[in-house]
Amino acid sequence: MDNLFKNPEVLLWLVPLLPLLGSATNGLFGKRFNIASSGAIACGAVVGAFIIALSLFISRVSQGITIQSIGYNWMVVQEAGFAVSFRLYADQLSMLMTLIITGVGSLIHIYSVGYMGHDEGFARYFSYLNLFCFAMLMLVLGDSLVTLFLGWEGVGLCSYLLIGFWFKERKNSDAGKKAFIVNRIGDFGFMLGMFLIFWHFGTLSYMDDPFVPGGLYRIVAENSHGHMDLNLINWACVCLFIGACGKSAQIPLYVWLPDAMAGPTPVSALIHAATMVTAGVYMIARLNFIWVHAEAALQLVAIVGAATALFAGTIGLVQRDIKKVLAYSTVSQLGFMFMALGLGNYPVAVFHLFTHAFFKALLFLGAGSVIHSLEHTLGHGNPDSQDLFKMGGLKKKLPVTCMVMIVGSCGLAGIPLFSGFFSKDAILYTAFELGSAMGGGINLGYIVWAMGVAAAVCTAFYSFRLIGLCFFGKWRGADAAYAHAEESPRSMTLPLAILALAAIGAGYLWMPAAWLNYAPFSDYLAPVFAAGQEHLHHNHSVFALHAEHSADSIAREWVNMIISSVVAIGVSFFAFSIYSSPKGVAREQALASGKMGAPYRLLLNKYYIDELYQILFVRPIQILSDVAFVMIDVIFIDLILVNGSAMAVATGSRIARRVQTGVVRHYLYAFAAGAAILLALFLFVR
Amino acid sequence: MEFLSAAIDVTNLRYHLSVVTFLPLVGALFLTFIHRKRERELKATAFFFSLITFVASLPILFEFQSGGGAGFSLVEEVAWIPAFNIKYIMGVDGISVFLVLLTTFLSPIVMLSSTSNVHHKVKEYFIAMLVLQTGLIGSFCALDLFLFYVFFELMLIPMYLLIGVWGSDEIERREAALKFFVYTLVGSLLMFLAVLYVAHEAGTFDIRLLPEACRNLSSTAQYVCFGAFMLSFAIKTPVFPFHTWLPQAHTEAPTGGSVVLAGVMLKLGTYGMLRFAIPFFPEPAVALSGAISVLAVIGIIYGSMMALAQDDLKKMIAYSSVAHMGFIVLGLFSFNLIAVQGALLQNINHGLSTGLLFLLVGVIYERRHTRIFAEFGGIAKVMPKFAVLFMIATLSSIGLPGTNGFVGEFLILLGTFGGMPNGDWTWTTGSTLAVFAASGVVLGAVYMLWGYQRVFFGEITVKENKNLRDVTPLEMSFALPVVVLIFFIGLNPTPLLTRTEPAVKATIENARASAAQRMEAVAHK
Repeated sequence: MDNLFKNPEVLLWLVPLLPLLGSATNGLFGKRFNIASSGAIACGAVVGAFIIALSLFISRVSQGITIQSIGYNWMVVQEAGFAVSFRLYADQLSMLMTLIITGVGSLIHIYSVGYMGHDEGFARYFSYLNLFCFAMLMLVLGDSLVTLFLGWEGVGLCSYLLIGFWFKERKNSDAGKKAFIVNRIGDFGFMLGMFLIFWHFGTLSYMDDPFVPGGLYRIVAENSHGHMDLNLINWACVCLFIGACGKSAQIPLYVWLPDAMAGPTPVSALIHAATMVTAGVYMIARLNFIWVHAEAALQLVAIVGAATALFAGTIGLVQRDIKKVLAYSTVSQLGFMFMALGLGNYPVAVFHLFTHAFFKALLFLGAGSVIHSLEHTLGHGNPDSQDLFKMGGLKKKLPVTCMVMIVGSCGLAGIPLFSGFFSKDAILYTAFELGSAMGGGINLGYIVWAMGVAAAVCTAFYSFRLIGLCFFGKWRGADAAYAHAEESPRSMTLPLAILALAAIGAGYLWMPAAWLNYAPFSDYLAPVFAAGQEHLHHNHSVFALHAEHSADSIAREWVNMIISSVVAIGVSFFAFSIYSSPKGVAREQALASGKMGAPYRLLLNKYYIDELYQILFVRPIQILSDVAFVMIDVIFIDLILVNGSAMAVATGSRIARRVQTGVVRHYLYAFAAGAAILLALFLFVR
Repeated sequence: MEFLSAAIDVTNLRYHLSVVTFLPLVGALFLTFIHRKRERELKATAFFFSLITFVASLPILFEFQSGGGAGFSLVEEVAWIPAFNIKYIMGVDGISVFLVLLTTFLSPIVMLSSTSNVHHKVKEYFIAMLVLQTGLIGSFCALDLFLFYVFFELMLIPMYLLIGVWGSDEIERREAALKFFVYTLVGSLLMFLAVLYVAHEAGTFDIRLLPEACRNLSSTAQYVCFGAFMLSFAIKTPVFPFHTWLPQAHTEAPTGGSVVLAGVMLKLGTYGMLRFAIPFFPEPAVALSGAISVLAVIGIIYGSMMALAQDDLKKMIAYSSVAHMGFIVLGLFSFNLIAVQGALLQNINHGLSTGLLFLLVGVIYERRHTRIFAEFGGIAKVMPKFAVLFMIATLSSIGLPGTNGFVGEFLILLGTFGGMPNGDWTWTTGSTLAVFAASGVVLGAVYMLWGYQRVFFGEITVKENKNLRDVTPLEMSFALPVVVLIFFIGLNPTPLLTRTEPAVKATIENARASAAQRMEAVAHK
């Protein structure tokens, strides 16, 4: 037994199973627990998973040794050569994700003990949150697209349950339902992508398949020179990307994420910022060895990513709800990640995912701390507790929260030396570099770069608008709320402090080449992308990544860095100076009612996309169903066809019954007539 | 389990399937001797007999030869009406074995649930239930076409009575029962004519010989007979547009009736397609597979939309059955091994998930005597355990990975999408159909989650809902076994899949081969 649990192939299973166990414990026996024991079980499960993951990371994966766990055949259709196994695969990428999920997850679980302590549903809450960790870990650790899909839909379920956690309010359960259904639309695409991949390559496993040894990795590598239907692979990747658009909130399926803010704030931090929404990014990075063959699909990803980054960024400029600002910024930052993926720079996308996980979780938890302190007086669920226009000057009341939120905002805005600077800058530089490599004037690289810079302007603006409105200037809400606002308990501020350190430090794992040749992050991930890159280099593709940097490219990196730094610092300062002054709100309101009213309202109402979808899809389906039910099912099929034919039989027999008069004479007549006709037939027809 | 099969070995029970089939009938006979006032004894006896039937059916799984390929196991053969070469033949293979077990598994559950929600004419109710059970098991085991028909018709009367006598609404239940009866009878009478014709031409009623014997039929005869068989099974399944009896029957039927109807009886339709219509008449089956698949896909989308339009919880679930059965028919007529395997598994899955949904609707109906959405809302607050059970059934119904529903749907769609692969894969009509069918996965989530929201979430608006009792231990005891199976099959369907595969493979490959042969022969002429 001892040896069994020292075996990494077994130990790896404990990582997802511990949270599952925690979830089951709280789910089944939660009624008998108080907040302390319930929280201890939930936190213990995730922290335990983190410790195991960390030990496996240190002893194996960081040494370049991947782990394939034990497993069993999940589904098999022998003669069709179809099998999916239930098995985990930890390589550099999935291990990194595991550490983010369990690490940030641990902090958020601990924070939740303070945040949800007064809620009567805490056991249910922790059960869902643990279940989420389980599903998310299955998503990243599973060794096939089907196990990924298990986690993929599993996290969707947990998200649904947690968004609608306070289900008494209609708005919340509506938001949960919307999230699930929009995600299902994405999953529809994802399934089609899986079908295309299976029928083309004959397997859905990355590494291990009883019928296809070596799984997709080997098959794709073997076929990479020729033998591949590139058209089909492009379509498969587009289908998979539809799934990513759902899960990672990209145009046109992003609409669920802002509504998802109805859930408890730690949920927004963990699920709707740090982990679940990055699943689409993970999926593309995971399958990079297939995506390198799908250039058209990649271009679509780059454009959708850039468009989403800019589009969501503009909406974020004018939102009043503190969580909505952060939600749109998440959509926008995810757009940056897809931008990087679409341009072929997978490691940079993962890097931005990594830094974003810290500073965005930090910002959400900080926002939660603000909301928590105001809800004391305003009451739970009071929208005023999230309204930036009714805040101000909270710096004095919430010094720790204010400090960490500024750190988070610096990261988000891309202020030099904060983590977001390194990762976002690397993405913009990728676009810029690609633009120059592609040549020929305006091209994909330059377009994406310009959109990215414009999105970065928005990011810097709303980040510091938020800081200014929330912590500086004068208090604009109800006096009692301000008077009673106080800093959150230690269990909440401690995770904030740790995240703040991570939000600063994470960026230094991959320094710009222009500064220093120090990139442990990209070196660590390199094996994951090696096969795909080899193919690109072989074909001299412009999308290939280069380890060496020429003097020209270093110069371009400097240009890009200076532009983005100036933008970030300048816009941040501009926004902060407006909104930290007491007149900030008044100025914005003047703008809204003045000449700029129309575009302002357009942004405030999120370009009316929700209303548009309502008119285009939701209503028509409902009306069509209702009408079809009455017209086709009830009237046409049932009344006319079914009952009609029954009626016809009834009427027919009523008529036929008349013949049976019971008078012998009538029968004799009929008999005679019949005989006469028969006779006539015999005589004349022959 | 070991000792059970040992016991069977020792007693050398040669008529195992007959014992399982007729045990419920023996139980029904027993019931006739119990006084109608002694309701507890009546209920206990009925439950006891369905339970020992289940126990007796378990060794089938072990005796059933999975490695032995496509043949039948546990075969019993006795002459019955020698003049017409009609025999009493019973046996199971991969296609039927899990349907038999599903029936015997659900029966005690239905009996348990009925103990609390049947209050009048208790004696007759349980007799009808037990007779129904014999009819169902017999239909799945019969290897003689005439015998099959006898069992097939045997179910009709008890089900008619269950709806007509124990139904919920005084007037509507009669209409629903009548519609059910007439609908099914019209289909099965046509089939009966075809049965007689086929048996006459082939000279045998033996289902094991008929696929081969039917090759001699002319093309026209094949098409006509296929049409007659298919009509009967399409009504039973039901395939769009023959479905309108189903929602009505379900809304009126008592809980136990609905569970048996949706859980097992509908499967006779899809079972019949794979057991009779496809192997007997491969040429029309292959030639018309496109048209039938289109009807199946219409059923999926149309059924989902109908479910969306309902204001009655039970009716919504009834329409969801139309959609789910559409998936199964689509899988069967794709002639792709993965899809047919998925379809067969989905037969079982639908029985479990929809069976559980109807059981749970019964739980709330018993408390509130209504199933209208507007009467509910906020139930999760007062009945948390019930809410969890209903959520699990919902997730299984919408095919969330990890539950059984996903495996079935996924295999059906994957296989149908692939079509009949031959060399390099190319896009086929099957792929297009699978894309449309996959949209049913989205619609399924829409109506089920909306339905769930209307029942469980929000504030409690109706006064009577404030003091509802949560699930009782009895109710828990019949829901839990289904929940366990939902997850078991969801995480480990392989034991089922490997047992069904040889029979499925033989059936569809024979059908495809002989259809190709015949079509080639026609082309040569």
